[in-house]
Amino acid sequence: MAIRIESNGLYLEGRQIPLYSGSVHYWRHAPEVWRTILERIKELGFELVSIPIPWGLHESGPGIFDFGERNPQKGLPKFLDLCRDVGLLTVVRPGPVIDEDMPYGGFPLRVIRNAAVWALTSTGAPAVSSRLTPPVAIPSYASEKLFQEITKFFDQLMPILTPRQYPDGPIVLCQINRETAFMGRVQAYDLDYSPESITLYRQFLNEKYGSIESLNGVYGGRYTAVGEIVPPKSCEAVVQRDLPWYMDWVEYKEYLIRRFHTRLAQMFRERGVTVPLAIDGPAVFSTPVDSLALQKIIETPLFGMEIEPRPADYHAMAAHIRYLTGTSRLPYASRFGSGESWFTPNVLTPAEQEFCILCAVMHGMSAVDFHMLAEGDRWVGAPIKRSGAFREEYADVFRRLGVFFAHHKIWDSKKNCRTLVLVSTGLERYHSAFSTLNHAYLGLLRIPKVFSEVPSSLGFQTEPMQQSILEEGSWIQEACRYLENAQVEYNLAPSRLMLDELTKYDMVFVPTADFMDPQEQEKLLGFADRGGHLVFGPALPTLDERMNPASVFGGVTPSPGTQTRESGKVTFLPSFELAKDLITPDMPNVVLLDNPNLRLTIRGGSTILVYLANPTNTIQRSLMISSWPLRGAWNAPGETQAGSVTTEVAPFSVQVWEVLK
Amino acid sequence: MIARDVEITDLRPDAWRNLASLIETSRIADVRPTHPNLLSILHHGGKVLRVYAPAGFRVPAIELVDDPQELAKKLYYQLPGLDSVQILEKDSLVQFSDRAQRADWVTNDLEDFVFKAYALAEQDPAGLAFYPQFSSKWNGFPLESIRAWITSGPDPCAYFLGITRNSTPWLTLILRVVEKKIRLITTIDFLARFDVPVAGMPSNPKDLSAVCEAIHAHVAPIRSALICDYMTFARLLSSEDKRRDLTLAMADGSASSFGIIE
Repeated sequence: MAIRIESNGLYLEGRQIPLYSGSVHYWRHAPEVWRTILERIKELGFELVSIPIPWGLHESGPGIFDFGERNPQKGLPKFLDLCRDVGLLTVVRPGPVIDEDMPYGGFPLRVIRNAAVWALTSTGAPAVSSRLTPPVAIPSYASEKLFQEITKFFDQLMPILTPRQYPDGPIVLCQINRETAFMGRVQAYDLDYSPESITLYRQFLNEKYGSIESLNGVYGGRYTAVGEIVPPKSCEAVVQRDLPWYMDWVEYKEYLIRRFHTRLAQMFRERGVTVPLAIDGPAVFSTPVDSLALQKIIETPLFGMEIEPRPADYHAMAAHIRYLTGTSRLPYASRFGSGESWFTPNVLTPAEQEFCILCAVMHGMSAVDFHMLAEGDRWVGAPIKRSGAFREEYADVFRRLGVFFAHHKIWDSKKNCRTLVLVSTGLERYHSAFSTLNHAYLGLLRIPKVFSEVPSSLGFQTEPMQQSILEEGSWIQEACRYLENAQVEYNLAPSRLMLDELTKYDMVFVPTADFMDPQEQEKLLGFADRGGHLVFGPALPTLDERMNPASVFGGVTPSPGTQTRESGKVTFLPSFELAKDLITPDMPNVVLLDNPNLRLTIRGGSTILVYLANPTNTIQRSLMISSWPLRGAWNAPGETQAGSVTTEVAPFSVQVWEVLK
Repeated sequence: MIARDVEITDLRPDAWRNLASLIETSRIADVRPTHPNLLSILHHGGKVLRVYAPAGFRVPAIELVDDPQELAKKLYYQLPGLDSVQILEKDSLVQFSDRAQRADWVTNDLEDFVFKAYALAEQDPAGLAFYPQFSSKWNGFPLESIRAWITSGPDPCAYFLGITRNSTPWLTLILRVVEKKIRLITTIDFLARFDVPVAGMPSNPKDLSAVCEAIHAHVAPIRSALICDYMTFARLLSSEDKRRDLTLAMADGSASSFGIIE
C-alpha cells in the first residue's frame, strides 16, 4: 500500500500529510461554484477534502444510477477530478449510511421501505429513527437483502472511485459507513430482533460456547440445541447465574456491528479499493461499539469518533477526545461540526467554534474532518457559504488556526500524558444489560434516566450498575475528577487495551466490581510487573464473568492499600477519600495553576505548547507557575520569565503558551 | 406543513441563533419545556416502581396508582410550581413506542412524525396520563391554527418576519409556501444570490420594509410580513390581545405589516 497511517497523519510514499480535512457536499452546490469552493478550502489551509456519497441521490430509479450523466449536480467523477486539478487530496465516504440530513438517511426510498432490510424492535416494529429529519427505518446489520442492495450500489460506484485512487487520482482514504452503531440506537433491548439477526445471535452463541453442553453449563439450562434460545427483551435477572444470558445479548450486539463492518470492508477490498479504510464511530465509550476490535478489521488503526462541539459540554467533549487519544494511534475526530445543523438550539459563534477546536487539540486530537466546511442546505455557520463566498467571521477562525497549526507543527506533536483510566468492558456491558425501557420515542416524554434502570440486586458486595462511566459518583468518574483536581492529564481507553499499549503509561486506573475477567486482571498485573502503578477499586473481584469463583487481584492485594510488585505497584483503592499519596510530585504538569476552574495540558513536538482552557462563562484568573520561560502563542500576552505569572483567561476560550527553551 | 424535502438555506448565523432563542423561550409546540419541573411516576399495573421529582418538590408517598388521570391532576395542584405531571404504566410505554414506530414515516411532512407521536401518547389515558395535556401551542397560537393560516395563502406565496434590535436586523425569517407546504426556509442572506446588498441591511423597521420588495421579486409574492423592533415583538408575544396590540404598534410606527396579518 502506497499510503500508510502514522500517529501524525497520512504518509503518501513517505510524504507526510496531516489528516486535516473538511467536507463538501458537492450535490448541494451548483457545479459552477465547485471550483471556487475547493479553492476557498485550500485558502483556509486544507490539503484534504472529504466527500460523502449519498446512495439515494445517485440511484435515480431502481438500478438506474446518475453520476452526472443526466444531472450535472450529481457529477461525482467530475468533482473528484476537479479536486485533483485544484490540488486537493480526498477522503471518500460512500456509506452506505451517510445521513447528512438527507431524505431517508441517504438511502434510496425503494431500499429503505423494504421490510426485509429493517432492524426490528423487541415488539416487532421497525426501528424508526426520529433523529434524522425526516425519519427513516434503521437498516438491519444482519439483513442479507441489504447486502444485496449495497452490492448493486458499490458495483456502480467503485469503477468511479478505484481509478481515482492515489497516486493516479486524489483519493487517499475511504471511510466505511457512518454512525457505526445502529444510527445511534445503542440500547441493549431496543433492537435488532429481526429473524436474520436472531439467527446471527444463535450463530454467535455457537461460536462463543462451541457446544450446547458448554452453554448449558453457563446458563444452567437444558437446551438441546442453540436454536431453542431466544434473546432477552428486557432484564429480569434474579440471581447472579441469570446474568450470562443478558450479558451475551449485549456482547452479541458488538459482534453484529463488527460482522457488518467486516463485510463492508471486504466489499471495498474486493472491488479494488486499496487506500486505507477508516471507521466513524459514535461518541460512546463502550458497548455496543468495540473500538479496538473494529480497528483490527480495517487493518489500519483509524477509528474516528463524531464530536459535537458544544462549549457548555466541555467535559463530555474532553472525555471523548481523551478516549480517542487512549484508543487510537491517530486520534481522529471523524466528524467535527464546522457550524451546526439547522435544528440546533445554539448556533456556535466564531469564538465558540475556536474554543471547541482548541479544546479538542489540547486533549489530544491529532486528525480531524470538519463537517460541512462549505455550507450546504440545512446547515448554519460554516466558514464557506453555499455560494462559495467566505463567511468572513467564521473563515477567519479557520484561517488563523490553520496558520497556527502549521507554524507550530501541531499535528506532529503529542499530548504529554502518562496516566490512563480504563473503561471496564465488563461493567459497561452489565450497565447496558440492566438498562431497559429503552424504547424509542420515550425521549419525547422526557422519561427520567433512572426509569430505564432495572433495580439490580443480585447480591453483589459492590453494585456493578453504579460503577459505569455513565453513572454519576462511580469510582471511574471519581478517578477522573481526582486526576483533574490534581492537574494530571489522562487518557481513557477500553479495559481490553493490549499490555504493550498499557506500558506507555506510568499509572493505570481501572474500576472493579465483584466480577472481572481473570485474564484482564492478569494483564493488568503484568503492567505492574513492568514497572507501572495499577490502581483498582472500589471492589476486590472474586468472580469471573460467568460468575464462577476467581480471584487474581486478591492474590496480590487482598485488602485496601498498596503492594509493591517487582518493579511496579498495585493499589486497591475502595474510595478516593483514601487517595492521599497516589500522585507523586513529578506527575503533575511542570506548569501549575492555582485556579481549579482552568484546565491545562501540554503538547510536545518540535515546540512545546502549554494549553490553558477556561470552560466556564466567567473570566478566570490564575497564578501560573512554570519552570520554563513562556511566550504567548494564542490569546496570551507577551513573554514571561521562568517563575510565576498571573494570567487571565476569557470565558470559553483557550490560551496557548510556547515554551522557550 | 413543512415539506420533507424543504430547502433550508443561507441561514445567517446570528439571525438563526436569535430565532432558536425565541423558540426556546416561547416553547414552540409547547409539548415539553426544555428544563421542566416535571414529576414522573412509573408504575406496573398500578404498583408504583419509581417516582422522579424535580429538586425541591416533596412528593407524598404513593404506592398504588388507581386513577392515573385523577392522580396526575391532583398532584399538579398539590405541588405548586410543577410544569406538569406524567403517570406512566410500564407496558403502556412499550406499546406507545411500538405504535409510534409503526406509524407512517414515509409520507409525512417534516414535523408530523413528532406531533403524531405525542397524539399517540394521549390516546392511552389509562396507561399514560399527562396533566396538563400536551397543548401544541406557540405563545397561545394552536399548532393547527398556524398550519391552517400558513397553508391558506395563494400559491405560491411568501411570509417574512423581520425584527430589529439595537439598530441591526436581529431576526429575519423568510418562508416560501408552494402547494400548501413550506418549501424554503431562509434568511435575508438568501437575497444575496440576486445581488440584493444584504451585507448592509437596513437597521430599523421602516428600512427593513424595503426587503419585502426583494422577497416579492425573488422568493414569491408576499402574503404576509411583520416588521418591528425586538421590544414590540416581545410585547406582542406575551400579549393577550395580539390583534389590538399589533394595531396599536402599527399606529405608533413601531411595527409595520404587509398583506394579511391574522
